[in-house]
Amino acid sequence: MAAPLPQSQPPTLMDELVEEILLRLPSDEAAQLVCAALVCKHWCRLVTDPGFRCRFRQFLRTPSRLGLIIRRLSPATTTPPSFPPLPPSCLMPATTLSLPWTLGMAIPSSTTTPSGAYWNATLLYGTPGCNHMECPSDGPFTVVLVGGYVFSMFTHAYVYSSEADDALVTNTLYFPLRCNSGILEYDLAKEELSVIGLSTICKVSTVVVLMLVEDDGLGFAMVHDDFSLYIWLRESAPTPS
Amino acid sequence: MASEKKVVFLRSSDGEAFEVSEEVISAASVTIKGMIDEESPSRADTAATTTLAIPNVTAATLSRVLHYVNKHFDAAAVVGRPDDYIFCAPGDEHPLARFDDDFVDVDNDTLIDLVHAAEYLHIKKLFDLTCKAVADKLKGRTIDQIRETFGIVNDYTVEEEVEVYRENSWAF
Repeated sequence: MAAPLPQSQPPTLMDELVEEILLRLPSDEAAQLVCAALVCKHWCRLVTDPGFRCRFRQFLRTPSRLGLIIRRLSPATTTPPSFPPLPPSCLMPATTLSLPWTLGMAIPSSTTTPSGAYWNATLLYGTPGCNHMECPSDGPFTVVLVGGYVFSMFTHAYVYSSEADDALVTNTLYFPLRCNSGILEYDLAKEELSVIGLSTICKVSTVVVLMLVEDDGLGFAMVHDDFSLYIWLRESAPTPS
Repeated sequence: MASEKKVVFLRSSDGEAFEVSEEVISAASVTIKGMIDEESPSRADTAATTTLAIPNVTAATLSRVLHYVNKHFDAAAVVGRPDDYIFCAPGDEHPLARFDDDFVDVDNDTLIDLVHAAEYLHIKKLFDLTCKAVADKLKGRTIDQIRETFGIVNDYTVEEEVEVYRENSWAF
């Protein structure tokens, strides 16, 4: 009997190429990774490897969401905001408030509740100096919430840590203050709040968007009434020797 | 002055030789550029044309690869710069986007051969394109279809399969 023709066999993909292909799965198809894990044990080891997860996120080039804060606004209940558990590789559409994050710094969006309270919140994994690429989904985390009441003079910052001693986080958070009166800076390490003034640059009606600039610096973009776009970079003062 | 363009011949695993501009293939393939550089001292004083053996790639695949290379890396044939994807205005299609789409619109076996060839020849753009095309093909396929496509034997027991499924049920 003649041996079967080689053409009848599907081509075997070299192992190292499987990873390259799975890395390029469409980012909106998280379930596809699970399908890949079910193909065989080798593929399962590949896609569950922390190194793969790290590379997969780098390929996506979009900020991952660590979680969502969902605050159900129902007059009958006073349910506190909740964090539904989300797998780290799962990118789900935000229903209430999305928490985008980038390396070392988080710039959340703002929301105002019907009662006149406004707040910003950011969820961070609490590993010091971490770039968040390989954080375990059940690792320690920190939530920083900044808010106040529209008619109040004060803005408050609240920090919740899943561990008692996570004070080593050295990141800094920035939140836009109401009416463009400034940018609130929260130093996670020192637990200190400070304000960067903007009053001479921005009008109340100006649209201001905080953003990251090179070398993890802070910048912001704003659009004036005449639709001109301005981009500002914050220069850090030289450190005294 | 009409300068004569240097060419090299690439011999496929099944013995067919393909002519290609040395400049173009050097820009495209790190592997072949390395081969040409190695050959250079010995042929500097001769007019003989170099033939390079490409033992891992068949004629059918090599011919496709060279079609891609000539389209993407021959400066005379490329409209605009080869790497100007990012400079396209929104809605504008890169001149080669349609070519790329058609290029990877082939059967599965051909596509996987192209992935292997791009990897061996170290042509990064072609490797990215073909890997992405395979990944896109996985979309919407069942697990059994994926196994069939890649000739993979299911080595899970039923219990193990259920366990992996259960652990990852959030994704479904």
